This record gives sequence, C-alpha cells and structure tokens, in this order.
Amino acid sequence: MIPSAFDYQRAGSIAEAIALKQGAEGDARFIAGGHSLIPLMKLRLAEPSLLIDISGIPGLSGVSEDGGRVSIGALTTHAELESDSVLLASAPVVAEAAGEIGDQQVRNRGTIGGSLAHADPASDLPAVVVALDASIHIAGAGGERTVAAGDFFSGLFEVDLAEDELITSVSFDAPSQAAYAKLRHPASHFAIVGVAASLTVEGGVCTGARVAVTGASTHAQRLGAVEEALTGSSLDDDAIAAASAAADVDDVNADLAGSEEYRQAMTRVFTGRAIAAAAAR
Amino acid sequence: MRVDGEHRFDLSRSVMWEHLLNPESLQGAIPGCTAFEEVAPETWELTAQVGVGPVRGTFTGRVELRDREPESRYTLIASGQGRPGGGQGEAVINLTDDGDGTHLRYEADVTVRGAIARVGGRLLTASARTMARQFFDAIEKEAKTATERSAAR
Repeated sequence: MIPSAFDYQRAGSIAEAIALKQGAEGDARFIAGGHSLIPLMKLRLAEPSLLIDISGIPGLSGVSEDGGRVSIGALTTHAELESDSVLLASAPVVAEAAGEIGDQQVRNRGTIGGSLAHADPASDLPAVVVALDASIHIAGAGGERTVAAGDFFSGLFEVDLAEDELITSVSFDAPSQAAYAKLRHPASHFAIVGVAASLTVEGGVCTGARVAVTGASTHAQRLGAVEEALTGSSLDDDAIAAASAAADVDDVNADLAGSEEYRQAMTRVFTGRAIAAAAAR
Repeated sequence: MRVDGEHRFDLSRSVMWEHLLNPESLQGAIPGCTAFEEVAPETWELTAQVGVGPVRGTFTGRVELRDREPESRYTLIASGQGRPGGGQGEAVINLTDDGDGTHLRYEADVTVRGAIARVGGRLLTASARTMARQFFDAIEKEAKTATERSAAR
C-alpha cells in the first residue's frame, strides 16, 4: 500500500502545468483529486515518476450559467456539483449523478475533469455529459480546442486527450428534462449500469432524445436505437417500455458484479427508469 | 477466466494467415515490443510494454504457436511476467472468409496472478479484449504495409 518513489510539482497555471508535462522525463501524470490515480499507485499498478498537481490552478473551479448555457470548471468536485444551486435549478441531472459517485470522501476530492479524463468504464459522469451533448474544453501546448462529449470517449480508458493536454471545463445547454438512473455496485458504488436520459418534449410529444449508458461496456456511449424509438412518441408507459427494450450495447462487460446477460438486461431496465424519471421532470 | 471475441480484417485469409504467424509482423504488432527472439521452433521470447489506460508495465514473456491448420486455425500459448503481475493463456484462433476479408474468432483461457489479479477483476475481460483489438488492428496494419511494399516492387 506504499507507492513507488515519485517527484511532485505544483502548477500555478495551465501554461505551467503543460510546460512541466512537456519538460518531464519518464512517466509524468497530472493529478487533481487523485482518487483514481492514487489507489492505483498504492497498488503499484501505476508508477508515475512525476505528479503535476493541477488542483491549485485558479479559475478552474465552480459552476456558472449564462443565457441557458451551463459551464463547469474542471476542478469542481463531485461534492460541489451535488449541492450547487445553479445545477440544482438548471441541470439537476448533474447534481443527482455526482451525488451517486463513490462515498463522501471520494466526492470531496474527486473532480469532474479528472473523472472524464480518466474515463473509467463504470464512472457516472461520462454518461451524463454524453446525454447532455456537452462540449469538453481542452487546453494543450497547441492551444485550446473543444470536443463534443459524444466523440470524446472512444474505448476502455481511451479518450480524445493528448499526453500534454488537460480538460479546463465542460459546458452544455441546460436540459429541459433529464435524469440519471443507476444500478450501483454495493461496495464500490461504481455503476454496474448507469443511464442518463435527456428529453425535449413539446405538447406531450418527445421531439428529441439523447440517452447514454455507462458501466455496460468499455466506455460511455449513446443508445441510438432507444433515442430513435423515443422521438415522436408520447412517452407513456408503453412507449418507454418499447424504447428501453431497444437498448443494445456491444462488448458488454462481465465481472463478479454481473454477467454479460445481466448487464444487457439491467441496461434495458435502467434505460426505462431514466427515461421515466426524465419524462416526469 | 474465459475471454472470447471476434475481429474482421479487410485482407484475405491467406494474407492474414501469413502475417498472424510471421515473427516480423508479430514483433511489429505487439505494443512496445523491444525484444523478440526465437528460442525454440515456433517459440519466441519477448519483452513488451503492455498497458490499458493508467495501468502500464513492462512484461517479459514467451509465445508459442501450435496445432496449425493452414489458413483456418491455430493455437497460441502465451505467458508473461511483469511488475504488476503475470499471467498465462491459451487461445484457439479460427479464421473464416468474410466477403473479401477475413473473420477471426478467438477463444482464450487466461489466468492472471499478482496485483492485476487481486484488483483487476472488474476490468480484466474488457482489458483483455481491448488489448486483443489493439493487436489485431496493428497486425492488419503490418500486413497492409507489407502488401503495399511488395506491390510497389
């Protein structure tokens, strides 16, 4: 439970963090809350030679809203998301999902930027940002760029983020009706399956739907067939049942918490629950 | 632990067969492979840098190819040891035609030990599949490069 020796440096700005990373020899990693990286280091499954602490960089924390566009700084902790008044009013789905992460200690330290960059296949926030069609804002040596959340996650711990880049913020249009439903692992509270649904409803008819799943496969991804089935429907019980039955994921995870078949089945169940909760908002 | 999966190659079965069993292509397709030496017929010892996401390590190991049925089936036996732990496995690989391309199906029995086994349970199957996909993508790239090179000659 004692990590290998490593060096530690604190970055005071984004530019300094990137410069430290570029100048580093060996395996340098950014660290924010550290609640994914440090456990791996203690088990010596990860042995970085240098940790670049970005948690003190000013201006990367907090939630703001401007004209219906919500922006969350990368260093905002899950505990802050859970109780943020802007989110509770404009995007309660984010607060709801953040409150389901790990335990209080993890939520006090873990950050949204770290969770998205680490991209654990069973983490909650990736499904939420994909369902909200969020933009992920990234800074690197080559300047700044923005990636759609739906394109950001590509595989097991694989994201569209270069070694010398870091996430600075996440932004999205406040959803009209969105919810997150999760089957959590009893010990780790990771998502065995977690589904986020964001719906646009006009005159009792669903005119747009984005539904994304985490935990079921290698990475958070949209459930296209579910979205198609929902669009144009009246969101009654039959429509929700039909849409959630269309949930289908490739490369389903299997472990002690659930076989492939179980996860497929629970993906359908929790898709239905997320849609019903979103429809009721 | 049983791991199975499928992969589709654009190249024909005869081309893929040649490269899947060719030491040069194998060396090129194994991630971070720094040493690759034939120590017995059909048996190689190698050093590779393998990892998925935040977990990376240097492994030394041995690969053996057995029971070849040309262009349709073979068995791959592999074992490796590194700082995060070790493992061994036996995979049966089947090739069939798929239009102009090749359909590969693998069924492997894998055992792991050390830290990987203790804490990796949640992600072992997904990691194994991800590494298999990386390997198959890389070997197809090797095969394509070689095919283009010989066509240009």
